Amino acid sequence: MNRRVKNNLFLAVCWSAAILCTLILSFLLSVIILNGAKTINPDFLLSNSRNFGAEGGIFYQMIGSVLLISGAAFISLPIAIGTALCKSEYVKNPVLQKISNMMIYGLNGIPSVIFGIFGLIFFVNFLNTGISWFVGSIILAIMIIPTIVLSSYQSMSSIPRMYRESAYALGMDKWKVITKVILPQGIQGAITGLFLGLARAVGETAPVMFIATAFSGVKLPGSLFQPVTALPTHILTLAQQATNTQALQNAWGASLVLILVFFIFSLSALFIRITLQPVSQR
Amino acid sequence: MIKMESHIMQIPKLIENTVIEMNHFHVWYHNSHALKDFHIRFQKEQITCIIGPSGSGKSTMIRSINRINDDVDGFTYQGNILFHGHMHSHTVYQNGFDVNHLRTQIGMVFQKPCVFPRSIYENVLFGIKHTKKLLKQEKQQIVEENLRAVSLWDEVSYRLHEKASTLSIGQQQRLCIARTLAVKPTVILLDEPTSSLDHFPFLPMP
Repeated sequence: MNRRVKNNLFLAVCWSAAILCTLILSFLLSVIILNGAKTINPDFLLSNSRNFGAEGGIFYQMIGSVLLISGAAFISLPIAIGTALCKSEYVKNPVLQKISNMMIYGLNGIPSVIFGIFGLIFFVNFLNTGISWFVGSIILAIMIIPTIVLSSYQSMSSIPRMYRESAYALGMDKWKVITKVILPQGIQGAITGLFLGLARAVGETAPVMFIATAFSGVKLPGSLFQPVTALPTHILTLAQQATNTQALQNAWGASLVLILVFFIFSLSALFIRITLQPVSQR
Repeated sequence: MIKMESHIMQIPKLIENTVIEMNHFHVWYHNSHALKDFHIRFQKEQITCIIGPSGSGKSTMIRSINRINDDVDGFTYQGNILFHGHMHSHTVYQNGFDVNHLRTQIGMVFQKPCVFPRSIYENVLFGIKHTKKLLKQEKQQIVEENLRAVSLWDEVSYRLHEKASTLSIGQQQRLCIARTLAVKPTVILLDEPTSSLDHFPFLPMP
């Protein structure tokens, strides 16, 4: 086999891998779009669900999902930025860096159902909060913290050393350097990470189904400690009534909405990555 | 005995004209010994040039004076550096010493210009703004005065609020010098600030 044949063969293998990959995604998307598009109309989006979701729309499910991930965003962002700052500006010891990296990757690798069980045991049972959307937000926040930390840390540690040195050489103290030099340039990574994390969080079923959501019959929560209904758990409920064609049809519609929300978050992350790119990296 | 006395007599005179002195100063980066037993006295209100081949420790030496080396991985030192300020003399490497205040008195310009992602106006004020409270009028005055000092005023006076990164590299370096001058340091350390610029030596400097 000469070099040219080998080269072409390798090229063909790479191409088929790439095509297979994109085909799976396009297949999934087209099935969901084809089935879901029939269901989606203003009425479906803006009305309450009835008869365990088989009739009516998904308005409160959407509100519930938005509440859950907004809570998660507010809780996770400051913690994650703090962690990333600590890693990039204060921790100089390479052993500590390795340990913290291991912890963060470890947290990222924990299966989501474990978070759900943890939330159930610790918050709902031990702290006796009851099933509450706020606890769901806390658990989702814990889940997405690693994504935000890694993304913020990456953008903070890629700020060239000369920016820090120039600021220090002007007599600025560490706090000023962090707030005026590091954060303005590192925030892009944090926001990108946040949106990627939220895109993942919005679709999570397992962590919220035990601790934050009721399967049906719930409208707007009156306090932090009341359940909501959310899109992923709603889809689960509908899919369990697979014999009811109307319920299944609504499940397709809800899936499409969920996928759209996911895409909006992912595209926002991409958009922020491009527009807020720090000057030092252009 | 007489010899000793004459020696003692000389010291106050020397110190009077000295602004920075390094005694038996050593620097290591991890295991590499970058600066060996260095002695020098810098005179007040004088320009002192340090010349040497690359890698001979010129940068290490001047970066030790304002302690900007402190954060470099593996940096260790031995010996001492004295800074004779307006009122007092300080040992620069001393526990609890106010390094940020030292850096307002010993300014530094680096080899490559490094402007912050803000306007030209903001860049001139970047250092002084954070060490002192300024009125709007004072700000305007400081910006004009220091941009004039580096002959940048005429080139940028009509676009002070544009991004500093729109300036050419040479202009950026002059902006960095203006930013350092604005803090009104007693000493300025220049680490080859003209090395990446070709037209820069012709710049009329005060």
